[in-house]
Amino acid sequence: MASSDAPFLDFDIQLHQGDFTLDVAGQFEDGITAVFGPSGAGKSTLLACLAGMITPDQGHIKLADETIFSSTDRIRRPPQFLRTVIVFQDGMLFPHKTVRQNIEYGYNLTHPDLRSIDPDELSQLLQIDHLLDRFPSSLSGGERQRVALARSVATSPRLLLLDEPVASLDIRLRNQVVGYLKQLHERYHIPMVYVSHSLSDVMALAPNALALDQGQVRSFGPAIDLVAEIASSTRVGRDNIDNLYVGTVTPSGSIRIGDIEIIAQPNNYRPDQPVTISISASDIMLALEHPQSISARNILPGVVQRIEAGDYAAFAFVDAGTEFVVELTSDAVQSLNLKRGTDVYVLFKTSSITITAE
Amino acid sequence: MLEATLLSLQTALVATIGMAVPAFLIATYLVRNSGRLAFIIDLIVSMPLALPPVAVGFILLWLFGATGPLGSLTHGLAFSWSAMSIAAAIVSLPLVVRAFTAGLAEVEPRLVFAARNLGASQLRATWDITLPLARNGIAAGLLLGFVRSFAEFGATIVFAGNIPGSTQGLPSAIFSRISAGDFSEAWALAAVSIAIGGIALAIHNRLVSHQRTRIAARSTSNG
Repeated sequence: MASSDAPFLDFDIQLHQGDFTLDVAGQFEDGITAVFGPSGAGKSTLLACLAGMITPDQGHIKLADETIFSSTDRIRRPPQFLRTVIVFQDGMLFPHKTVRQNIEYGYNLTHPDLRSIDPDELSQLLQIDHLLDRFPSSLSGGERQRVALARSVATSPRLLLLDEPVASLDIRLRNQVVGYLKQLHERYHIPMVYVSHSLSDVMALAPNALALDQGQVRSFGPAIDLVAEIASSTRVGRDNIDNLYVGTVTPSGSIRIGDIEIIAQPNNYRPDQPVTISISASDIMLALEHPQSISARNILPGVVQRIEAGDYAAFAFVDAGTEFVVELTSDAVQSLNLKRGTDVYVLFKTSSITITAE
Repeated sequence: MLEATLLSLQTALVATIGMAVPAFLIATYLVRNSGRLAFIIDLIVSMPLALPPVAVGFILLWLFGATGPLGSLTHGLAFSWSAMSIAAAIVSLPLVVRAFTAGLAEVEPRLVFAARNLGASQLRATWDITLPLARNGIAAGLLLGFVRSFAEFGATIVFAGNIPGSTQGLPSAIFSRISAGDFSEAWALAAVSIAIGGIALAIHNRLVSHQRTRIAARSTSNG
C-alpha cells in the first residue's frame, strides 16, 4: 500500500536446477498480478524464490523497498521474517491440527503490532466458521483450500503468493474460490501474486500478467493481452489452452458437468465416480446453426461472451452451460460474423475428450 | 539383583536420553541428503551393527583410555558408570537413527516449509510440525534404543568392566552368576530381563505397526 514511485515488488533472479534454468525479472504493483504459463514453465519455482523457500543463484528481490534477497550484497532474509505467504495448490494443511489451530498457527506467530486481520472475521468471510473444530482429513477439496487461504491471510501478509490454488478444484468451486480471493483483496487490500495455467482464472482476477515459458519471461502486461498475444503467436497457444472440468459419470455412460451432459467414453469408470475431463480449445468447433448430419456427438447451444483475434489464431469464449474456450482462425471469426452475444453451437468429438479419475 | 536391575535401567535411560538429540540430527541429515557425506555418515553410524560388540568396547577403551586420543579430555572415564552408558549409546545408535529416519521420511517437507513460511523458526517448525508428525518413528526409535541399551553386554564388559555395585548391570550379573554356577540366580535375573525387555519391545512393535497402518492408509487414499 506504499504508493512511492518504486514498484511494490521488484525482482530479477537466476536459478539453475539440473537442466532447468529460471531467468526472470519483473516489477509488480501492489494489486493482483498473475503469473501465467504451462506446467514446467517455472511458475512455482518463482513463487518458492519469492517466499524464501529456494535461494536463487543470482539476482535480487525487493519488496516494498526492502531488499529481501541480493546475491551481490549477500542478503538473504530467513523465510519466517518475509511475510510473503504461500497458499499451496494442495493446501498443505497441518494434518495433526484442527482447522482453528491451522488458521491460528501463523496468526500467533505474527507480531501483535503487525496483525491487521481478525481470524474470526476471516473464517466468516470464507464461510469456514462451522469447520473450526474439524481436522483437515475430513474436509472437502474446496473447504481445504478455503482453510489454507484463511491460514495464510491470517498472518496479515505483505504479499500473498497463490500457487495454482484452484487447479485441483472443479469449475464451480474454482469460481467460488476465485470469488473469495476477489473479496479478500477488496476487504484487506493484500497484494497478491496469482500463479495459474488457466487463462480464465487469470483474466477473472488479475489486471496484469507475467507470462512465463521454459523459465523465461515471454511477456508482461495487461492480462487481456495474453489471449491476444497467444492468438498472435505461432509457437505457443495451440496446446496451452485446455478446457478443464470436473464432472461425474452418469449411469448412461456420459459425463455430467453442472447442468450439462457431455457424451464421452468413460469405459473404465463407474457411475457417480468423479472424473476430470479436458478438451483442448483447438478441438472444439463452432456452428451458427444446429448441424444435422455430423459425426461429432457433442452439440451444445451457447452464447459468445468474448472474441480475441490475432494474426495466427482467434479465441472465442462461449457460455454453453459452462464456459468453453474455443480456438479458431480469424477468417472463421469474420465469415461467421462472431461477436459478443452471437448464438452458436459448440461441437466436439467424443475422442477429443481426455478423462482422468480424481 | 535389584541393584543390577536398577543400574541397567539407569544406564539404558541415560544412554537413550543422551543419544536422542544426536540421533535426531543425524537422521534429519540423512533424510534430506543423499550425497557422499551422507553415505559416509550412515556407514560410520551403522558400523556397530556390523561389528562384534566386544570390538566396539575395545575401540572405546582405546579411544578413552589413559593414553588414547580422547583420554586426556576424559580422565578416568573407562570402567565407570558413565562408560556403561556410552557403550550402550554407541551400540544402540544405529537402531535409533534407522527408526528416526523412517519416521522423518514420512513427514512432507513442504509442511515444514509451510510452517516456516507462516513465521516459524527452524526450531519452532521442528517442534510444532516435524516431531508430532514423526512421533511414532521417534518413539519407536527411543524404545528400541532403550531395549538395546538395557540388553547391552559385549561392549560394556570390555569398556566398563564388571564391578559389582559399580558397573555390573543385569547382563553382566547374569554372566557372573553363570560363571559361578549359580543357575537359579541367573534364571531369576534372566526372568527380569525378559519382563522389562518384553514390555518395552511390545510397546515398540505396537508403534511400528500403527506407523505401517498409517502409511498403508495414506498410499491407498492417494492411489
